[in-house]
Amino acid sequence: MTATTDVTPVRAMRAAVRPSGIGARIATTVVGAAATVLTASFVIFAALSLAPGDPVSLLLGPHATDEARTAKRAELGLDDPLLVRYWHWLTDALQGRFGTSFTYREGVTTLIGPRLETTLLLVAMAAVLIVVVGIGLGVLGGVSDRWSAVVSAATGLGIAVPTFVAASVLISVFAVQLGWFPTFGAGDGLLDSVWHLVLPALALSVGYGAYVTQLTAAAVREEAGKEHVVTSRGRGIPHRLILRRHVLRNAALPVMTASGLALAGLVAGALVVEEAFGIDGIGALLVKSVSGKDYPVVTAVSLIIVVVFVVVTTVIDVAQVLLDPRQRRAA
Amino acid sequence: MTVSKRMSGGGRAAWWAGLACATFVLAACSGDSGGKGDQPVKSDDLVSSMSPAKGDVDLVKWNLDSEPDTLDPANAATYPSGTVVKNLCDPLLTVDADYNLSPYLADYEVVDPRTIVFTVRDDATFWDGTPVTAEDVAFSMQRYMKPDYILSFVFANVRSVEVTGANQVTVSFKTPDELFINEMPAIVILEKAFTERAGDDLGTPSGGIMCSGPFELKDWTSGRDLTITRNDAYWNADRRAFAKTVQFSWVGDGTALTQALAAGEIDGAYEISAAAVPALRKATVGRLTFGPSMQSTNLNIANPGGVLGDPKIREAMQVAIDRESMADVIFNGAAAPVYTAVTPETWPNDQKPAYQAAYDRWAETRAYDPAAGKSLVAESGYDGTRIVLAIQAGDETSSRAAQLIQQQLKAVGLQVRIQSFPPLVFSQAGYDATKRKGMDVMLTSNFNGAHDPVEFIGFSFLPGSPYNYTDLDDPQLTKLIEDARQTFDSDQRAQMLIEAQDLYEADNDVIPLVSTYTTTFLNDRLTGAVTSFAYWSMPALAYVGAAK
Repeated sequence: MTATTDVTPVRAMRAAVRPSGIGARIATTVVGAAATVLTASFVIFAALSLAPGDPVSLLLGPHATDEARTAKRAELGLDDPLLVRYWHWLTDALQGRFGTSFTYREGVTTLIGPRLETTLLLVAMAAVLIVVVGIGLGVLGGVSDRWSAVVSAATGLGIAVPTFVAASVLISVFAVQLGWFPTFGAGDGLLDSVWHLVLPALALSVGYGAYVTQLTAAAVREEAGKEHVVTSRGRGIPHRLILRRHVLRNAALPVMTASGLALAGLVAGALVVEEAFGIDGIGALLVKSVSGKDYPVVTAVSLIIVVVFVVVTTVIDVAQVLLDPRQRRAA
Repeated sequence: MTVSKRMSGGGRAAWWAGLACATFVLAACSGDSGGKGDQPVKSDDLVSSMSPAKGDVDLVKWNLDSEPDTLDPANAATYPSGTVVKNLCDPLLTVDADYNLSPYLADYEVVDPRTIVFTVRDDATFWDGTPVTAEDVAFSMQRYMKPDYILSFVFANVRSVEVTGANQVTVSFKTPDELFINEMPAIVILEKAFTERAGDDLGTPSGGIMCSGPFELKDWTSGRDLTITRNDAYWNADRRAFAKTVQFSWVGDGTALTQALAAGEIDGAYEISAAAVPALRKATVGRLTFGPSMQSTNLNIANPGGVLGDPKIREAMQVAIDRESMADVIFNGAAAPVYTAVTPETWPNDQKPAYQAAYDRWAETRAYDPAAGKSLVAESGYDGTRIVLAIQAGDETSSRAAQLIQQQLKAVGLQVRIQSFPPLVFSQAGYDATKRKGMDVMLTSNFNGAHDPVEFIGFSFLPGSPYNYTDLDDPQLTKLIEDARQTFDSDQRAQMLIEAQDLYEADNDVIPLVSTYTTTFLNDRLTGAVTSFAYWSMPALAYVGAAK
């Protein structure tokens, strides 16, 4: 016979040592996110530095004199040590000054502004498709035996087809042959832009959407096979109620994680779609700037992508804590 | 108990769905692949400009390779930037589609070998109505001279530019420079007051420019499009634009551009890549036109010494490559074999017979002859070391050309390793010897801005010049080139350059491959386009108008 250990003093000690509560948990997550963004910015800056090539060669052309090149490098601060350059960039960036593009000779914020709008619209449309169609198909595939194999095959195809192939096929069929949509560009004005971005959003959502569908189907299937669900069905509770209360609610967590990760990756994935459809968004801007080693633009755009990724994953983390009673209690 | 998955009608449905999707994809993709060796375009089929436009049009949608990086004429050295600037701004002298030079904003007189006087016309006006004056001309030219600017090399031999009369600008030279005249179509005139006010913003989407050309800059939304509109008050009725508005896009992806052209969403584009030619030949909404161009693709020996320091190996390479096949198969018929570094299109119009005679000798010496190549390699000291062939990454045509070269050099006993480099590094290697270490030969695309062989020869074969990779330093050759540049007499100059050509070609520092055509696509509702490479030196879009 053992005496029950009184754990209350232990709990009190732990509480005194480690901050507890949802607020603290959220705070540590946010601090972690900021640290991630900072580290990523340095890694990107250093990586670009290590890449071969001198940005000045594109700026001055092949006929420039050596003196002109040296002068330009000094003007752009390209000969300073890496940490010095990074520090200058960081201090300016924290004050909202992102500098001037080497190749465009225009302010980075002016360059990014309109392009960011385009990319965000594209990403938003793809996100809607992923959430509505992706999750919808996943639920269908998880719940219905009849559809399970079809959804599985479609998912396999979606994951296998590279984005640029999907883009090419979509343009070929729906734009060139059928003429329902334009072949390129982002359009002018909201309605026109939405029409232009239908095919790009489709191309972008194929890969990520398939991933979400697959995970959703797996999660739903797993939940539907659990004992409490089988028992409820055995007791005659209506299917729809079981689906909503037991299966979907419990599957929500992994589905949310999968969707969140997919959405976070959309901005980076938009790069390929923008190139294939001739859309000048931040993805296309990034490609051009990287090949010209245009530091100010590359770092700013990369930062945006990293921040989006970190924000979305942080929101998921926080949402998980809030939604899952088990995690709430542990906090 | 888990939910069991039965292989039911669902499973079979999935299989059919998969098959349908696959067929769909294949059907959609097959439309784009073209055949190899499409019928070659003979040089007689080349067209410098299309039949003239018959009437005005409201809108022309034109594509550029990429977004112009600047509209500042002194830095507008890329294809897109140069194309737009030449439509907006006027030069002092201009060329037509066949590179015949004529006065434009000014006429000129070579008063003595070191002095050229420009007389500015008095009826030309900028878009804002102010007249083009000698002050604007002198200011614009002086501005080009700042060493920061890409085009400052044109003024390398100029001592000063001064206003010397009401309509007169005098250019004084340190050494006589006949090339300067042939570079004039690239030098355009800006309005002084506007340019000074704009400062560093000149040529950016926010700063704009003020010029006198057949089109005005209406709007440049960075990243989206660039629009120019007809200057209805243009001083030159001969070049009044047919199009009311030209909207530029910059779809860079080859497939995307082909699809946009085929769907009629873009009306036209210059510099269609050889890889896109097969697909566009099948387009029904428009047509491809091939025109003469000074551009070429060559192999440049990248370093003095090394494996290729052996003259016999270089000679072998000259005869081992089948240039006709390269033009027909790799370039899809959009190129012609070329046997000298200076392409036939670059010869001055009045000197063609003299240059042709010299060229024919080289064409014979370098004709495709693998047997001769093999014996040359056998006679050489070649020890089997792999020859490193450097190409620019990301270009399909370069890659295929390199593979053909590798194959054909192998057939004569030379081992080649192909190495691709990112564009920035490759372009740097173009002028920086340290970046060329480890390369034996580079596959390069070249073009002249001016219709004058001296430009290319000077940059390639003078000691210390940017494209002289093999440290070629022949005093006799140097003297011929420098003298030619200082000679205004066309016949004498041609003699000197042909003699120079015999010297530098004998050194085999360049293995010429093909001379690429200017390939233009234009929607059938339009005509009139300039289709030779002279488009880059003219307000080419002013000529595009209605076909009916």
